Amino acid sequence: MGAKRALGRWGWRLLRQEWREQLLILGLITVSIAMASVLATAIFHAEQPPSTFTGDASYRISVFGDETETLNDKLARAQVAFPRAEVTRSIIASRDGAGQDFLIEAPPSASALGAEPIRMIEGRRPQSEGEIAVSTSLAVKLRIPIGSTPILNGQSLTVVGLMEDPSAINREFAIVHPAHFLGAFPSARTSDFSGSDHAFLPDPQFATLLVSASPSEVNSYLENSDRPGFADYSNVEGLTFADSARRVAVLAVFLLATIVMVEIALLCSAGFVVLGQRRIRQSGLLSAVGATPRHLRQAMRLNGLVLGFVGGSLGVGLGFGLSLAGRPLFERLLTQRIQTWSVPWIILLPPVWLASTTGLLAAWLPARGVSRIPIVDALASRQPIGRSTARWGLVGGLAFIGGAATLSVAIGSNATMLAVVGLVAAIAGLLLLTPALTKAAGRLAPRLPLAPRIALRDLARHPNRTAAALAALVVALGIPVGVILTSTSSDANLDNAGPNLPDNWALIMPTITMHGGHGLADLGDHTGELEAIQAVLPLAVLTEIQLAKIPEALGSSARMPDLFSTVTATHCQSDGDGFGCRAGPRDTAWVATPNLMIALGLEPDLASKPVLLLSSRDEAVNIGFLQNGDELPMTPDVADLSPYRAVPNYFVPEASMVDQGYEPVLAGWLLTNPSTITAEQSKQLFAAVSGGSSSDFTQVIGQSGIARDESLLAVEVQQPDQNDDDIRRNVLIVGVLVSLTIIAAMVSLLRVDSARDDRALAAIGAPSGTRRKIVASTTAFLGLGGSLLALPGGYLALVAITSDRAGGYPYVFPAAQLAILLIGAPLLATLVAAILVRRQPASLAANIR
Amino acid sequence: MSILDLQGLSKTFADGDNTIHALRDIDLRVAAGELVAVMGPSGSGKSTLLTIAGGLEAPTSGQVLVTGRDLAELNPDERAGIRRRTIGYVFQDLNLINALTAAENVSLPLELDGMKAKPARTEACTMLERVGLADKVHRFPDDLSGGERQRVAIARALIGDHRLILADEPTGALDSVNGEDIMRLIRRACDDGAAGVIVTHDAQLAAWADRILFLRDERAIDHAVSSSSTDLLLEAASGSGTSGGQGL
Repeated sequence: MGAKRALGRWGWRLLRQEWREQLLILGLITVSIAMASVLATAIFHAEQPPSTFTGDASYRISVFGDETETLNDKLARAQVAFPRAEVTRSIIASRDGAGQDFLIEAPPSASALGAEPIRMIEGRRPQSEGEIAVSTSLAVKLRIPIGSTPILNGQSLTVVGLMEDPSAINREFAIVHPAHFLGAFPSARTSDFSGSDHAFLPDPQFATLLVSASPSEVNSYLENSDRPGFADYSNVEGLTFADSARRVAVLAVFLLATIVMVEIALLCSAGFVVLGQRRIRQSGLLSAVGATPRHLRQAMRLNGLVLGFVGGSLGVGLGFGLSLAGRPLFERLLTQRIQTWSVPWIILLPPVWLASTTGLLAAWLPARGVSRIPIVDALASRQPIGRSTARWGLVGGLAFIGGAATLSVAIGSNATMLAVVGLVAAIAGLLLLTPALTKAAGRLAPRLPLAPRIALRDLARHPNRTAAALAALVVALGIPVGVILTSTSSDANLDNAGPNLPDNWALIMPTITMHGGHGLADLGDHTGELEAIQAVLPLAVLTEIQLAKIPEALGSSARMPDLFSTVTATHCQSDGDGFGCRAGPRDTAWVATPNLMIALGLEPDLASKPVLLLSSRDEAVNIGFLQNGDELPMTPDVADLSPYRAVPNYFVPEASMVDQGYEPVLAGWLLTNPSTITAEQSKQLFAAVSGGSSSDFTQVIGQSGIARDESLLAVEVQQPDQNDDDIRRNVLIVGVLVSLTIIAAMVSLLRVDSARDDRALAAIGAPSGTRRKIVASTTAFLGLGGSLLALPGGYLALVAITSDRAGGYPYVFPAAQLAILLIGAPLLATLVAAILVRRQPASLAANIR
Repeated sequence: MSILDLQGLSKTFADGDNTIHALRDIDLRVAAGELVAVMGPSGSGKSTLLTIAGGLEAPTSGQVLVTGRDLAELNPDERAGIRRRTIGYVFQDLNLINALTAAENVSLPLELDGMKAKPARTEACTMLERVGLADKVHRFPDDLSGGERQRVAIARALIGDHRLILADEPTGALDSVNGEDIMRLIRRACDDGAAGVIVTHDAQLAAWADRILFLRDERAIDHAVSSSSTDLLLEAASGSGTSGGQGL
């Protein structure tokens, strides 16, 4: 006990003596834990359990009326089945003249279950008939501020309040008082529902039940003993099991934090190696007076543990503060409200534990190294020179080769897990090779000028601490390199798909989906918009786009006469068991009219081809909505069609459409301009279809080139490349900053015990810039070494990530970005080092005796 | 002509509210070919005198002239130039650069002065051979014994055209035989025209000097000129009967 007390006292003195180095390690741990805590909090909030907003409810049941039981009957039965239930009636609504649907709901005024479905922002809740409150996002979209009187679903309503759904603050919806819901929106589906045409038609009115009930009670309600064997369409969502998602999120945070802490452990380990070397003489003295190697190990490990614990605690505190300060940002990003004290208490302690472990592990090997130095060498301050690099180099080489081979096998067999194993093994091998590579690089030193020679020798003579620093740098550079390579490759893959439109075309289409929707002709006159468009581009030609309406399909419903179906095609992928669709989006087929074919630059003869469907792909498809929702598998005739992504892959020849008994329905216009449509003209086009306004209310999705508001029409022009430039730019910036920080930290640590050398050099007459040159050389060697190792690491990551998509992701070399990261960052660090480092030690005589 | 001329040298250090006088009004002139030993008890200011003479720190008052140039009038780069071209310094703690081999440490002043690495190293090897380390030229300081390191430090001080040799306890880590060898080297350098100042506690080594400066209570209390006394000291020390400078 006495020995421990003495060693503890020694450790504490050293802690005070070496406060700069200790502070650096402490700072690294603190900042990384703070960042991990902020991230954990963000993910925690992103996975808020439903109970945050639904109170005591255990289930959310969406109830629809069907052919055997009306919605009212179902709700009446629910009130009996569930003593504790909240009913919110809803109806799909739209503002007259606008194509965008939204929900009008009637939530209860007071929640029996403690739920908070609505949060008022301004004004008040609707209380009387004819009043409505709208969500802020809907108010912006439909331009209906408080006091306005929009006509919604044929009803004139006065907006009395602005509110939001705290669980989805961007949700566009409106609420009315429950007592007036049925009066305003009588059920559309109670009497005229008839038999066979229900399959694809959503009920415009439904209700959401929040119930506090057991699973058996819910099952009993859904099964409804009066209707045995009938499949109920109610959608049931359990609200008590969602915590599993949060557990997964927490696990993900831990994994991420662990990766970060591995990085920090590598950095700190280099720091402890340096500290160990500074303590050699004192360690020798302690050993000489009877301290055991165990004592020495314990002192340094305790140092690591204390730094980890303190850093972890400070980091958690800092992260907590940042999380509180960043709550508005989180809310905007997560599109949901976060309660002020909704803090992930459960993940506050583990980061402290993680940081303590990191500190301990970082000190583990350096402590062992210090304790193994022969006492005489330690007393003579003779630093241990790494001599075991060959063994670890061999292990690293084998791991690298084995990992690369595994990766190669994984690519051949599309085995993702195997690819991950190969990647990890290869990168670990690369890192284990680092000491041997460092030592090998040291052989170049004699050929270099004095300053780089001293720098390289210093790095090479202590391969373990250099390797730890390089490993940290490789991880810091390798991750952004991997991300840049992968996203560039992904973009290169996307580029093969071609642009959406040529730069002189525009598509003028409705904002609603045409199949299963309304035709333009049904939704009013667009002469005004077309004239406005022609005014913007007087030389442009507008060609009608038509769809093939199927009279026998959904539109035959007497209940929904406005709705109809058009010919669509679903691209099929063979399921390996004969013909059948497994996946693929549903594409609307345009009618191939001679005019449209000419406008698209295609053969006008295609319009008269006697085939049901033309496609540019030689692939099987399912044609949808032919007969009451049936789908017809077929192989369309292959034709050389438009290469542009916004133009469908499928066309129904006009002649064939007539033969099939389908009817043409106007779906929009293809605008072809003799010259490129400029950005300014695009804006004017957006404004033209938005009723001449381009105010804040006009929702211009700028980057996608689509204008969309309450108007019926949207304009699509050539879109800028949908690529990951932003992601790469951000990753590049973060990568450069992180690597600069790491280089700075590492150089500070590695050069800290060189102060004596600096003074000695100055004392024997070294020019004043020598010290600067040495530090700059150390920085350059470290940075470039990290870059050289990070590049293969990044490519290995690209290989691993794309292993299951062979051929889809081309191999790329984004020279500019890689140069910025792998050459620019080290050079910048070198430059900064050269500028910041003092030319000459402050005191020459100090310690020069 | 005097190589080193210290005039009215004083040095004080602040210790809180107190002022500590390390040196007080010291005068010392060392001519070419002359070796001066500085002796005195611990804390008498011997090492401080040497660091001021070597341009490592400035005196509080007084003048330091090296080859007639007042160090106070030189900028740091010019002082560095004096240190690498004119002064050979043997530090008490040796101050070898651990990242450089023995040969590279010795060739350091030449390389710093612009000489190409290869000829500088050739000269360094020759110098190491003179101090008996011909087989250790590629060793790093950590691989050398204390005595070998000391000889590397001496070699570094003697290499080139250093006209002023300053040595702070240059034989501190050596046995008497090796210590004498080192003193012979320094003596020979002085006989070849350099001026030398050595700080030592060892009267036997001081006997190699032409003059002995005793420091006590911050002052040079005895400026002894030793000719016969040195011979007597040397005879007593080595029994050889030879005076300083008759060695290597």
